[in-house]
Amino acid sequence: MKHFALTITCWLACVPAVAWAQPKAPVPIDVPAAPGAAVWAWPAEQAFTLRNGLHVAVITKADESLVNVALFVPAGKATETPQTRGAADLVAGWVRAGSSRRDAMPLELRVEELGADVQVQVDRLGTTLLCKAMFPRLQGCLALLADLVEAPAFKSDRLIEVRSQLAAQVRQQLASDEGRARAHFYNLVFGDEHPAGQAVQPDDIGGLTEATLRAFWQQWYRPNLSRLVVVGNVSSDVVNQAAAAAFKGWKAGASPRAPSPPVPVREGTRLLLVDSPTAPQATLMFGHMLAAKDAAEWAALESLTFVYGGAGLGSRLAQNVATKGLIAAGGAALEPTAQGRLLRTTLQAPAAKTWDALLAAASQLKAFAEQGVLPAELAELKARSAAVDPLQLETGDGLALAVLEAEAVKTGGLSYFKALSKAVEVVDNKALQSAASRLKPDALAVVIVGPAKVIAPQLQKAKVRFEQIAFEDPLSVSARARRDRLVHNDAATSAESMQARGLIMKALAAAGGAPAWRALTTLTVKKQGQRREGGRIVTMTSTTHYRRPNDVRVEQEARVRDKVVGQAAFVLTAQQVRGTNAKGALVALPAENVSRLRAATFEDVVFILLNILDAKPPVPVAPKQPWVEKGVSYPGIEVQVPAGAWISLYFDPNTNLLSRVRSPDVAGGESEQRLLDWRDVGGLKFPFKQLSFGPNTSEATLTDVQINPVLPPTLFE
Amino acid sequence: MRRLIVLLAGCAAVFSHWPAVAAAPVARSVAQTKSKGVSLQTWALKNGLKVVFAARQGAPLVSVQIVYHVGSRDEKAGTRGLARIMRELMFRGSARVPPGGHSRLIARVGGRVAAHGDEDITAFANTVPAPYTEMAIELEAERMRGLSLKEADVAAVRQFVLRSRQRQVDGSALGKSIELLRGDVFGGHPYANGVMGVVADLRRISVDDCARFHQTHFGPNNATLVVAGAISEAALRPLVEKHFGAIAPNPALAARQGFTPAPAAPAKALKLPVEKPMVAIGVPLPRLSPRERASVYVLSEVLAGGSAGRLSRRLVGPKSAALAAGGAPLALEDGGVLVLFAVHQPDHTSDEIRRIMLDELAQMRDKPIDLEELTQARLRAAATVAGALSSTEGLANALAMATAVEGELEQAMLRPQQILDVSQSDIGRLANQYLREDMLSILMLTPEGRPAAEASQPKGTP
Repeated sequence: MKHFALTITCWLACVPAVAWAQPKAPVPIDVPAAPGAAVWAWPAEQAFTLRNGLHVAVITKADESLVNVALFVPAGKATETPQTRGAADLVAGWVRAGSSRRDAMPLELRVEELGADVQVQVDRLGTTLLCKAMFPRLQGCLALLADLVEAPAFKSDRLIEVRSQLAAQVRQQLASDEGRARAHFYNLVFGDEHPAGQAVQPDDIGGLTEATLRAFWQQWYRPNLSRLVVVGNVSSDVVNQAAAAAFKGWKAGASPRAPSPPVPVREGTRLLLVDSPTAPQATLMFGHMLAAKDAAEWAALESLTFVYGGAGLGSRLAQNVATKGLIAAGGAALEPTAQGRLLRTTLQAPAAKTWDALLAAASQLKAFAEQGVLPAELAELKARSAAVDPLQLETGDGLALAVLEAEAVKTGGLSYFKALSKAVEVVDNKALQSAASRLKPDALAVVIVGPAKVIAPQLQKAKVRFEQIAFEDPLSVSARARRDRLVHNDAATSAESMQARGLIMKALAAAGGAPAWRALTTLTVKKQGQRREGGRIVTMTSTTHYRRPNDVRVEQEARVRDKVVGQAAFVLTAQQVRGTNAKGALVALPAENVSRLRAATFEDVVFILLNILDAKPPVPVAPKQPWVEKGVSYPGIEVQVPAGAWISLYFDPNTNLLSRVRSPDVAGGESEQRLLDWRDVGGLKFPFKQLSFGPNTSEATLTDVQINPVLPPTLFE
Repeated sequence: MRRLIVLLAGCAAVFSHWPAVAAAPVARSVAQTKSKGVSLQTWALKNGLKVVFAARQGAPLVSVQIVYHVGSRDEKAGTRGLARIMRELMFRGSARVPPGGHSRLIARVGGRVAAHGDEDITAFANTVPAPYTEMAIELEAERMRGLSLKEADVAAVRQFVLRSRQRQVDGSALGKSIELLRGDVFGGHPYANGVMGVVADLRRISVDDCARFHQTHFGPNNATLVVAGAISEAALRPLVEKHFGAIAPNPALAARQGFTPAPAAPAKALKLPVEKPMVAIGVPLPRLSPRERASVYVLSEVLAGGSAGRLSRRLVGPKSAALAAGGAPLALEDGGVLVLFAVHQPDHTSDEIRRIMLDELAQMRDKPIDLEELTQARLRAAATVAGALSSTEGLANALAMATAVEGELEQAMLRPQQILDVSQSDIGRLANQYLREDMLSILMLTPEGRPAAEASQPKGTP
């Protein structure tokens, strides 16, 4: 009993003692649930208008040592017409290349002398030029920007550089899954008729003449359409005097109206699947246009977007969708447009979970209308000043650019951010729930770019209606319809086809005539050239034997610094396709290589025109926008080659000869071949110099051309 | 080529900072209102932690930065690279923060983290929306107090640093050449050891080494906490006391060894796997006063400031000898080096390029600088410094740098003006004092595989 009593006593006494002795489990550090609201202290703003109509806002920041001068001209993608698509970017690049007062090199030196940083950026709304430097260079920055917009040099040689850089940039963007998704997404939201619905393409950039670009500049680079923002430790009076002096020569112009067709309103969700067969994951872009009744509702919608996908790792997309392994990354934003705001979500998802990821993300939007947001989310959006990004707005240049963007969509410049931050401070869950009725999770424009063989079955299983297209298919509905028409109409006799075939006939006539080419029985062409691969230069030699109409034998050798690094040969006849294996023996090739070789043979520049004319069944051919270079307009055609891809051919307007061939490359981009130095051999003309631009740049020269040589039949066995 | 310039510019950004926090506790509380709308305060906790606070109204942001007065110069033989490893290990968690949790929590509230280190210091920055200031302070205190050090983490970080070293130094001609130049300039001083350590040492650094290093150097009495942004002193003081106040100080550290430039070794010609030949010149600098430091920035801008710099104007151009020419100062606590370089065309010899570069230095010494050129250089240099002060994070960084390097907090705010005040005679004095040929370290790099004779033949000779 005593023992028992002791045990009981000990048990009673010892439990708390033991508990006391246990080390306290450390409390993990976590995000505080009620952190308090962010409070802004906004700088002072004053505005005035110069005599020429230039609207100027001066934001005085006492703690800013630099002056940030940002000039907005409404030359954006939204102001382009189908005839001037790409002009905003090209003109901005051309303007940046130098003024008539200071050519490009002195301009760069001038920028360095000012100790300035000068940037030019183009978006849908306009073109913004930013100059930031120490305060004593305020006048210098203003004068520099005035020079650029008021008196650009517009030199033809600089335009060639700008055009080629921009075309390369556009090609690169459109070759990426996200760039492709963006182009299709805007087309799906805005439609073909709206300027925002048509992505700029290399053809657009190539087709714009100098006169068109000058007219575009003349129309939109006007002070009475533009806005200037200066942020720094500077007074309005000082800026007024300096800006009036700098911009006094910039003359006001008419007030053109940017094309602003209404954004089509469509019911239900529309889904476009773009096949990117080798993509490691799916890129999803979806959303819809948003309207709101007043500023308070906009603030609520901005707040909802922040909670949904704008808060990074704190957003619902991260917390509720990424944590389930449905997406690898994702975010959402409200994009300002002239017609309202566009809610756009971008996700990267494992291809096998594409449909689940889309459903999960859309369900986050639906949940807002039913439940609003959680108290912790409401606290966080206030603590982080949702949609009024402090990290951007704290710096002088970030503030200047944000204010210009707000002014461009007529939401009021700095006052817009002031009002928004105040509205976010007081927004409550009721207002958020009410604003959530503006979200349309059942009427989304959805673009998915990824491997269709993995994604299409998921969509079919979910019984979702969708349109599937190939990666390289045109970016607008109307262009795809035109391609369909070309394919399904009579490929040889339609009006478009006849017009394009006319150009081919002319080119063949210039090169010796179609009859002479058809009469050719055998041909041997030897070629030598160099190709830049990574950091090394590879010397290539090749001999091609043709036995018309169907047989080809190619022998190639590659050397680096006189050392043979590769040898290959293939024989292609109507009956067989053989190529060299690793041991150098000719063996039958796998089907994939066969189709690639047949396509390459069809596109061989020596016979491509004849191949197009004589193809059985006929291949679709149509005229396309000319390519402009150095003021010369090269007429073009597009052709669907038997392998299915569309290639573009351009002709020299003076000689009618084929001048360049552009075709899709394996990486989703484009490669281009330029044909130069046409010489006569036995009454037929051949391009003795061939330049290729693409993943690898190469230059080749024909070293020997033999017309109707005697070729042993064994060559083709 | 651009990579080269960026890398050299990066060296300046990385190496020109913080450091030296005075060992004695700051007894007084200094309150000053500077012209740029920033109010500065400093105080110290009982455990020796120094606190610098800059109130700045505007955007609701706060940057919480902590600078430990420890860098690669504090590594012992056999543990070279330990400071670099510790910088990574500080993100591997503690009892209250899981591995990687520090960065995740800051990102979760829309903030950003950064870490950097050099020969003198190791620093961490957290910039967050103001309402999350306490969380950022608590996270920094947590890894000062209770860092978890596990064998697996040390092994993983060791591999990471070895890979970084391979990429940035051993596998990079430029990185390797900077390491060689550093060795020449700093001789027996610990600055000669790069921040990337020594491969053999990196391979054997143990958990115990790391624990000892953390215990010795990562305490409150060897650190400065800098807080800048939209918070009041009244709100901040209790937060700092609450989270850092109870952390015990570490034993006091021995004073560091100063650096005095000595006459340089003869110029070296080396063959490395570079694509183009390069000449690099190191100008050793002693510990500089704030005014001299401002003058060095301007001098560097005159010589090597982009396409407007003298080296670029002389050497680079459509038919000129070099593809790129430039440079940047590496300003450390007890001295530094001004690095100048020219990557040149193979049809020009390194000797020829070296002579041109030395001629430019001689002109700096012998002829007074034109006032217009000086004005442009001052404005360029000042814009770079002033631009960094625009952001809360940049302001905090500059304050930490000024406190540590110059031991005078106000220098952070005065630097743009100091640069604008640099005179023609300042530049002349500096040039005559430091651009002396007998003090310069010179490297001439030739691509491997190119005949040695070719590199030393004058242009046009067979």
